[in-house]
Amino acid sequence: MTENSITNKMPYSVPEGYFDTLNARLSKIPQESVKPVREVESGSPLSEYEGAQGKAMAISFWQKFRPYVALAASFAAAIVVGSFIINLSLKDTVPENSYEELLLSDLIPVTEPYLIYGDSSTSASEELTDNDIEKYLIASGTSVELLGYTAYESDY
Amino acid sequence: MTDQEIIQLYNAGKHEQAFNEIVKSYSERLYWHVRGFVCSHEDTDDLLQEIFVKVWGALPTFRGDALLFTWIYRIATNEALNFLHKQKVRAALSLESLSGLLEKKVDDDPYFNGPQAERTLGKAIQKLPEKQRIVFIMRYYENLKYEDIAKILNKSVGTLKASYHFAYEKIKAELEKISE
Repeated sequence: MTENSITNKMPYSVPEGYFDTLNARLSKIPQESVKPVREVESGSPLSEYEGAQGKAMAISFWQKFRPYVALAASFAAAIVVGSFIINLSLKDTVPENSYEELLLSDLIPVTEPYLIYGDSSTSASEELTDNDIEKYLIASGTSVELLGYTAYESDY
Repeated sequence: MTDQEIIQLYNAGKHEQAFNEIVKSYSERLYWHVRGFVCSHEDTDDLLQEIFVKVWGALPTFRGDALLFTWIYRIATNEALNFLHKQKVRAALSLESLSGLLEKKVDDDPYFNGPQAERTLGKAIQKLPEKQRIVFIMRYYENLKYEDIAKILNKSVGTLKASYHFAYEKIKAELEKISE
């Protein structure tokens, strides 16, 4: 850093008299706090700092994980609310009549709905003609010999 | 009072007096140490309270293997980093990055009293990855020796020098980009 205007000193000030009041406040800690952590016994695996930190860690476990729990809860809430809203909006658009439902799903041609549902006035009483049978046999790839055989059989 | 005298005072059973000497000796130093990380006077003030509570609680376990200075700075650095990690999660909940949040704090700090170049530098520092930022602040602003930083952060001197070098290059590039 070679710019003249940049020095190594941190460019912040503090409120007037701050450090005096700070020292006074910090000096009250021994009176206000609980007894110091008991001396670590010899041979204990705890390090100098970890001895006190272990106690602090137990106290602040919930404080440590609270932000993550809050994050998970907010995601769960978003999913639940979103699902509810989607279900609510779909409910309004889905028709009550199942026939209309299928029409919307475009599974059946609108012009010939009786292909799926049928029409009592026509196809129920309709019988297959020989022409229909022939067309089917041809479309199914039945061999000519078999076609001829079955024709012979039907004659007799 | 020197660190050695403070330890002797504590070992002589004068715990509160020793603690008060630690407060006198370290409060201002730790203030600037923490301020460099958290970029806010209010947050620094809160953290200092927590740091000295931890120091008071851990004093009985201080065996003198490390220097008092290194030990206290380690506590302070760990507390500052824990605070920043919490800030990172809070920032993520608001769909922000931690560096963005800290840059905003640098911009909005009412106690800032340097030239604009310093503000630009401060924001460039907050863009650094955490490890590089810590080393840079401790070396550049606090002028700590690499050996002392190594003891505080429990890293090798070589690693710290490399981190500082990379941090310096990134900040230089950032400042050049802004000045174009």
